[in-house]
Amino acid sequence: MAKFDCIVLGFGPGGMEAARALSHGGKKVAIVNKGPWGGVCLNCGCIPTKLLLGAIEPLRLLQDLARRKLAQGEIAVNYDKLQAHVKRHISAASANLATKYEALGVKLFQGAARLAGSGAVQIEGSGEILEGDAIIVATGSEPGFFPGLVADHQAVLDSTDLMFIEKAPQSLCVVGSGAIGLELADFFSAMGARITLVEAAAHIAPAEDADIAEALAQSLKKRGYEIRTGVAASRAATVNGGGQLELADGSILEAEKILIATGRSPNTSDLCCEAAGISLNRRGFIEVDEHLQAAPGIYAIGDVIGKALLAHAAIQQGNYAANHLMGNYTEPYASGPVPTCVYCHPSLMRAGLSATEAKGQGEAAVSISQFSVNPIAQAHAAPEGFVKAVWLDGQLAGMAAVGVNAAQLVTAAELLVAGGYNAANLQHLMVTHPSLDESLAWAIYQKPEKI
Amino acid sequence: MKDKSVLKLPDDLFYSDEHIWIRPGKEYCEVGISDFAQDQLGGVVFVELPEKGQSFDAGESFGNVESVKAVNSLFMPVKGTVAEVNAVLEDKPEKLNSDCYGEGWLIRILPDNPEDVEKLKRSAAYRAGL
Repeated sequence: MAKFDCIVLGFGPGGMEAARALSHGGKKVAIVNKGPWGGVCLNCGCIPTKLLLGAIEPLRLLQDLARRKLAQGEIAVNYDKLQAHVKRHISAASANLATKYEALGVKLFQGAARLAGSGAVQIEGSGEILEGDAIIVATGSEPGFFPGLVADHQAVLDSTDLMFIEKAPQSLCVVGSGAIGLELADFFSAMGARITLVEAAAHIAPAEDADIAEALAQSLKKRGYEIRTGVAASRAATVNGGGQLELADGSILEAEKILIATGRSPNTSDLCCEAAGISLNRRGFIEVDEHLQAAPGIYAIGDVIGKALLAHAAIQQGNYAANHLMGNYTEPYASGPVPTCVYCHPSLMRAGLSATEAKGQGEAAVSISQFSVNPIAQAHAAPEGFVKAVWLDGQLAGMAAVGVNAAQLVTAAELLVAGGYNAANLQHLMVTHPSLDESLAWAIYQKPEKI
Repeated sequence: MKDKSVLKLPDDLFYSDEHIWIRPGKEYCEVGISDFAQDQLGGVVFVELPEKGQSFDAGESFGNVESVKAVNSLFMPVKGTVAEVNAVLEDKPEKLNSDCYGEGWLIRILPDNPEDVEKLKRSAAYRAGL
């Protein structure tokens, strides 16, 4: 029986970072992974969608310039070549990960892992049993469905089906307008699909404030999107080869394909959690304590704990778990302000609290700087959008933006929020002019208005 | 910015709360932005207008005006159809600042119900609401 200091279950961004930190710390590490190396992020999530969206950047820029008659012409994306490029990139990157981690001394095992008690992990298929002094569960998530809204992989698709679809659909109905729905809608709209967004919440991008969502919706409508908010989809089906979506108000939408992007569901079914003393919350995610421990000797990190279903949250948690295990960190896990971005056009970003979240916690205020006054946004012929600073009891608690390249502001925003900047101490930081980033500074300099 | 007492708000026009003026006429009604709106916007750099023949509800956005300060939607004052679009604004959007009631008109429309126009505010009431 092979014995390790730590067995990491899952080779996505979280498991990867935990294994890296542990092996740099001199630990003997094994990774057991069910799917392709790199997890959802590399194989069917963050990375392929960015590769697709990158290819339509010039098209979006041309469209903005052409609206002002500053440019004309056509940019045609070669869909087949692009798909081949994406697949080639992913499989090369996936293989590269294996090489890199093996070079670090990490042992890689392919297969689903079952927690077999007292530090043992059994690998499905071979039945091989590994023994570890500690285990880090980082098994991630998969597309989640509600009853009636389940991908049949014909006309009703999940995000993985759609992002690699052989032929781009002419019409696409997207159920759920979070990051996944918005990004894939943006890409396929650029490929010529007529888009309908269906969102049960009061506005699209439901995690964001209503003003951010409204600015995004305005831009999307100009591009011809039909947007249905405040109405839930109740049933999706393939009818005569096409997609048919029934809404709660009784109306029926038809589209060549329907994307179900209603959320993610944790990968826990192979693990046999109960036997290992791990409890799941009512949404099925693994419950952890303040040190990300799910049971004695077992940590859980990333999507599977459902704190923030973001690759970078998993990375931070993986780093924490590894260092806590090695005794380097003793304090409870603290995420700090959580950054997110959505790379649709216009894009979105947020670091820290939204105004809605801040309002629930104390005296909230916002200060706003419009992109229309920013020379870089003007240069892109895209003055729509704005940056918003969110204040909680007088402290900078969050920053959000919508607009051209707004997603690129996320790390600067994260540092400003984490650094506790305000109109007084920001003077000590020389902010580049002209830059899109200075719109963050301008938002901080505006007088906060109570909300 | 101008004091509201010196804003030019011609008496023969009707005004919406979204700062659009409308000039009733026999063949069509002319639509533009008020002196207040152009003054608030500052230098206009781009105007995006609808196509001839498009129909809009009252309050629906029929275009955008961009200045170096803001991007604002233009809201239809009454339900109607676009009969003509001011092509001059494509090359000279600054006309919105220099002559908002004349050469800077935006669109000419055929209202569905001509009596809707007279339900809008007159100059004095619009000024009082600013």
